[in-house]
Amino acid sequence: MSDALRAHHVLAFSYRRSVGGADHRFLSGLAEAEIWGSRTADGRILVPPLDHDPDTGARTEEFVRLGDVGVVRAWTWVAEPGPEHPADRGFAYALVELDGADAAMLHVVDVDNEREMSTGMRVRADWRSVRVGSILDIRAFVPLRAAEAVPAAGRSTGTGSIRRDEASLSVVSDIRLEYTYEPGLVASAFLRSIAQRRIMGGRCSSCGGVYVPARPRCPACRVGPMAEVELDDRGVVTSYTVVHVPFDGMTLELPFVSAWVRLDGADVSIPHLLGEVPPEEVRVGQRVEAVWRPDDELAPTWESIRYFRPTRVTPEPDGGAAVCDG
Amino acid sequence: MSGRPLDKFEDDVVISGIGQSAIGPRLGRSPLSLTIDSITAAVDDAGLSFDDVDGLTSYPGGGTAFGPGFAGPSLADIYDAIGLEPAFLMGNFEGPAQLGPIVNGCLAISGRLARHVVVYRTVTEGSARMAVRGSHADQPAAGAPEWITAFGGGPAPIGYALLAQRHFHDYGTSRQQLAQIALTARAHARLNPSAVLRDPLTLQDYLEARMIADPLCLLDCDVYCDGSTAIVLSHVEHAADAPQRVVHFEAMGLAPPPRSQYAQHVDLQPGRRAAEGMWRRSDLRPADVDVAGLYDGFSILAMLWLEALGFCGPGESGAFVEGGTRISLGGQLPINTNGGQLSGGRLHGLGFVHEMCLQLRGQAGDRQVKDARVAAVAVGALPYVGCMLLRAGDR
Repeated sequence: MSDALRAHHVLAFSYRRSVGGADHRFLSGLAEAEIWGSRTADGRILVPPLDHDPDTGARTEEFVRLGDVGVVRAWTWVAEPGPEHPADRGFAYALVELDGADAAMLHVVDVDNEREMSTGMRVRADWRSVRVGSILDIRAFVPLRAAEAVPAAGRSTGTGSIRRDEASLSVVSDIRLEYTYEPGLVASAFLRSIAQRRIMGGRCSSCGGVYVPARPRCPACRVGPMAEVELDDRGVVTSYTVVHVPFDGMTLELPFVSAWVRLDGADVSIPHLLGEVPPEEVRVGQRVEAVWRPDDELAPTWESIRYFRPTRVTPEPDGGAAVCDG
Repeated sequence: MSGRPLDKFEDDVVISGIGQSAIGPRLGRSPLSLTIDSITAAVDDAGLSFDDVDGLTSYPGGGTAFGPGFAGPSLADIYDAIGLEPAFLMGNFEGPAQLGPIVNGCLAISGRLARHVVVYRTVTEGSARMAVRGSHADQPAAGAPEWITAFGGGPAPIGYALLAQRHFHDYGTSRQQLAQIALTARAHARLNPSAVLRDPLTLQDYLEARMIADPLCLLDCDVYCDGSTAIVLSHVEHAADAPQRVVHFEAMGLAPPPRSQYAQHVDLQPGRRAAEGMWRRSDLRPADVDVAGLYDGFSILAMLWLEALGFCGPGESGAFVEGGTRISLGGQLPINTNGGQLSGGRLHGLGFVHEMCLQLRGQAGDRQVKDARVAAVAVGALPYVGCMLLRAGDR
């Protein structure tokens, strides 16, 4: 048996959402190179700001602007950053408590190596020149040099604070998901056979049931592997529905007929489309045959069969058994 | 297992309180806000305070994403917002459908992990579905869907239409018979001020309704809505203190999901197995049931539940509902007295439990089933199902 098929997929889109309240204050502050917190009823300053005190559930009182300088309360070193990390060389994740704040915020400390990190070290925010209202507008926190002037720990309030009912801020996040899908060895063999106009099923060595597509083992008996058996590309309609409305993501022209087709020699039906027949003439028990794509369009996909169409044979009265496993 | 078990966990638990938020086609309110309303009402109804609540369960729970507006708030959203400190937490999708959180809550109480468990189910599909109309809802492309999705077999109406068509073929079931599920639901909804669809509906209306996937028309599909339902489960020791008449659990029915890789059963095979398990745990019989809430996400499912639960024989549901009298108020087995999900709104499972509790408490107003003592609830379709028998308390 040859290897499993592999298909690489990339799902990527930009996701826009609106933020209000404290998130709005914090993110729009970052765009101006300002860090804002919120003051609770008992006077604690939370950074990033929250709309409610997590301990009491009460509204926080007001927004408060803080300075750029703080102290590292805890840290961990990331020696080998991956693509998902905010730095391309070793860095520390740290809980940074800004001067005047009563809670630490998570950010990155950029130093040359782990030995430069210590709990209690003083750091300041290093701002990007182009800022968009993101936590990454602070490129990183960097060590505060001894000679460096320390900006006054800001506790300025009021100025620049937004009202809670002010319009929300819109932020855009880029989402990207890459994945590789492998259907497995048995399904791969089935799909390869489809690309050669052959439909392969599996026969259970215990109950004798024939399943299509082929499966690794019998769904009813759990016995496997199943013996390969080639099926005719003709069969009988065991149930059908005429679909009159477009469902999400569907590109088929309406109305179309979705059906179960039990191929000759198989014990379960496959789902497929019916074509070349007016919907009102479709019947349970109708004999149908596969309409394949031209040779140069055949591929390891079910869609190599465009649809099934009626054969000119007298219908069976009941379409046979729709159920195999019980 | 044979015979009724002597010692059932069901006997340790009662429903001491029920509550519901506002329900509407599009309320424009957050799932969290609706849920706080329903939980507050249920806890108050049970004569308890939030401090008494030490368990919280829901379906499908946090971290799950299905269609827009489906999931409702996570457990964390709720205990954080209300300030609960529940020792027992469980949110889950896989299991006995929307009855899963009730089963879990009952087991926790029976096992003395908790005394009072709040169960909630919240949907905002009414609002959310409008917001994303026309966008693409992703189908998972592994397992059975990998063979189905390309041919438009993914959406639920198509799958259940195939099942209904085969039922029609095998048993001679007709659209006129299937219509009775929708017509009865609407007639009942007209007696329920909270129901989403309350306009009169005739057989002619039904037969002329827009076809979705033959033989299911628009009126065979339940209606999206916004709303939250909560119930409070309490240890039976609390029953005497409950201000309302409590509702007892007579028996639960659970079932393994079907084993095939995609469903091709004309009957509701998991439902039948769940029902068999439920009847084994009780001395009651189908004839003892006064009223039932049967999942009607699609009308055909309520028909299949009638068969699965043994109210009629396999394939006989069409004849059973013929004319609608038998399943209407005043009939042998009134079903979905709140309008079900077809007309009452897709509150998704727990709505049926709420309605059956109202019936057993004698509080169903104009749609009260006289002397209702025993109610059946069955939810889910394929692959996950659950069912249970409820019994009115003594006062």
